[in-house]
Amino acid sequence: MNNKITDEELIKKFQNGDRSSYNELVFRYKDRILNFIFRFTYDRTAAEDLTQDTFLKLYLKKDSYREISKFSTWLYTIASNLAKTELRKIKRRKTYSISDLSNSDMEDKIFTDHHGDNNKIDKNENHLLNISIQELDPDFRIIIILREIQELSYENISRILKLPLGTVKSRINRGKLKLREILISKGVNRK
Amino acid sequence: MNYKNQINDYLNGELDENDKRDFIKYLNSNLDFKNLVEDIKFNDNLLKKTPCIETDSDFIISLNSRIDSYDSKSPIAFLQGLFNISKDRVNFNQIAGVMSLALIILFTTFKISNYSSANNATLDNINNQLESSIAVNDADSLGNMNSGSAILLLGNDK
Repeated sequence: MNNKITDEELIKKFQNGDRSSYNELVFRYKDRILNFIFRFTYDRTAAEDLTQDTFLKLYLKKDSYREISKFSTWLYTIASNLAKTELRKIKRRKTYSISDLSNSDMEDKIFTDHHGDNNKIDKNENHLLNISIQELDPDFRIIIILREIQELSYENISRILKLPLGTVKSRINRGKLKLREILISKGVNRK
Repeated sequence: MNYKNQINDYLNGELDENDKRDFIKYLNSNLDFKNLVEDIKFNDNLLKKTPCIETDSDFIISLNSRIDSYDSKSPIAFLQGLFNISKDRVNFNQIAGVMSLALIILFTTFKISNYSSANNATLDNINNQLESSIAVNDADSLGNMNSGSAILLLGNDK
């Protein structure tokens, strides 16, 4: 029997003043949100800060959550809005090439592979994949990350990004075609 | 039919039987298209294998300190401190109670200050009237007034 308390129950308890429920939600989602923002910005420091901002916003705006949507959808909406805003700031701030982003602290902080050791991606291939993702238009990038890396359903992505289901599906398809072109241009292809 | 638009649906097994049959027929008749589909399948695998990163070990400590810092600066925190209300127990009723008390104090102070201003004005008025009356009486008592001039006698029985 699965006695695990749901996210929706936890946020309800937190709305009633239970701080430990908030801590549990942070514990459940901190790495997922960090990975999502990191893949989107490819900036480890910014991703860590924005993940904190996401949870700070959850703390401050807890009463604006209504149980008409899943908690995870609501949290990802906060994170994606913050990430998009940050991306605009990063674009204004940074003028160096995306290839300069191969900073070692980013790679060194890659600890685990949730798909198992046998499935590990080559470090260089991973870096090329990440910078290729950055070359996608942000509208395609965010959808590819949510669907293919975060493995969210089309329906959830549609709610998070407030886009019709058909638009989500067509952007995933177009995004993948574009990503293929970029990866081939960087020499990443089937061996 | 643009089969490129159906690649993702095909790979996810979301095409209906008819569309799937047509798609496979086209796939087997066009080597470039077959390679394209295989590339996308390969990239999907690559994306799924991307390693996870983890938050720093002090992530929760740092987050909680940001929250505490925010809480200590908020007006509600000030009221909580003032009335010794614990953070876990605070609710809307308590906040409303504190706000009502503050309003009552403010209103009472305002009324008292208005009352004293009104009293001062009345006293000033009485003082002015007394002074005028004394002045006219003094002038009358001098006995050298011009009989032709009109004099307004205030507070004088004569």
